[in-house]
Amino acid sequence: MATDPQAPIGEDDLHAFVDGRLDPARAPAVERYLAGRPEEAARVRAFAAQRDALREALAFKAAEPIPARLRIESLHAARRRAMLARGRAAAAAALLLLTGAGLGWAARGTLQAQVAPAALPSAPATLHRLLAQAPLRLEVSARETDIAGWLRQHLGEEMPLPDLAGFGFALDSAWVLPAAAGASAMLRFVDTDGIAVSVWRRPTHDPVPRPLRCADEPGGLVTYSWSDGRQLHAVTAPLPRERLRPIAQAVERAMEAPSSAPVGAMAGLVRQPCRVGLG
Amino acid sequence: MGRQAVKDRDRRMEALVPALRRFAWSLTRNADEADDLVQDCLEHALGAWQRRHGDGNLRAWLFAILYNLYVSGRRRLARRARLLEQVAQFGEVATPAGGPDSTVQCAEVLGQVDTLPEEQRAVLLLVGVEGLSYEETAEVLDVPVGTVMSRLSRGRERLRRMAEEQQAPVAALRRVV
Repeated sequence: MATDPQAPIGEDDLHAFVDGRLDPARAPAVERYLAGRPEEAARVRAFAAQRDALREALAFKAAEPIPARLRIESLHAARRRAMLARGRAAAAAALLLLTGAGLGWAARGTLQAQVAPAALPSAPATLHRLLAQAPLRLEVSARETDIAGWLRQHLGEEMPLPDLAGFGFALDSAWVLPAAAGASAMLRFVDTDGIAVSVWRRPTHDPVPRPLRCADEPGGLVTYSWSDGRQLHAVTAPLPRERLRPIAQAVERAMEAPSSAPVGAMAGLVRQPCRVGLG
Repeated sequence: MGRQAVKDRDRRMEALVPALRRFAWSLTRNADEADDLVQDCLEHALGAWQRRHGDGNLRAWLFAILYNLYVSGRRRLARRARLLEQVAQFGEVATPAGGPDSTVQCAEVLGQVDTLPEEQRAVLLLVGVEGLSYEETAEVLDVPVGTVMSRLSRGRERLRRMAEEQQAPVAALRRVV
């Protein structure tokens, strides 16, 4: 657009005039131009009237209260949920790694027949099929079941339930899955934002205790894992290390709590877990 | 990005939601589709925030995302197909005319804007309704400012002619009714 007061008047000047975006140096020239040409002035007025009518026709939309789903906070929550869903898939994959040979037991027969000739199915798909075929109910909600009793029944021993209320997480559900040396269990804790922390435990044949260690996993997941020489534990969540670390430590303390349940076959090999400081 | 910066960014984004909804509605003329578009736009913006270079114009950036999503029209196609089905079912039902005069006029101006080529319509809406500067509009549409000016000029002139041609017969009809 011209800013030179002497330049000839152009269409762009007329539209800038309508839109109030005319360079101040140009304004007098445009006004003089329009004053001498009533037809052009009428055209400019028509442009402005049209613009105003269009604004008026659409004003209602901008005046409407915005729907809740377009609040940025709702969008953040939706993003967290999406991350969580990805986290669940990753957690399912992690579970299959943790349960390891247990799946072989579960998958013998039907699964093997279906799966063996083709490429290996994805871990979540395997889990899905496994759950579909399972004669037992493998997941229960904390709202409808006494988790401690249910776990005792399925694991054949007491499993301490960590209290993560201090971190804002409440027990939501529990899972039990077959594993090589017994059954593995998962506890799922959820906070008010829908972020989930999963706590895994499965028996291990490796009697050597492993101190707490941390691993970053795909999808923004962080896992803290350790072994007390009897059970392997993992705490996984889409949280930064510094937030998950105290949670994992709390779970570790809870899992150390003396159990009144019958001890397993590896009990004689239990050693105290290393109390190595964390970097 | 610090917590405060995120809060500030969210506040500035949310302040633009009414204008984004208006622009989306003026493009799609369908409330649900418009809000889907705004939601897509905001989700995209939140996801792409890190890749946003510099501290450019937030408004122009969001309008650009929305407009590009509209043009690429992923959801629009699905909805259009559903609409077509409905039209096929209710094709014989006439649209009742009526409502106060201002509504008729508003519908008229919207109907006229709809007949413009897409790029002229977008310029008229961005400049005239959303109050974006010519430079911002150029940024949204990813064209030079000169192109914005010529589209604005052609679109407005076309609308003006249309209004001139329609004025007389429409007024006569209204008197009859």
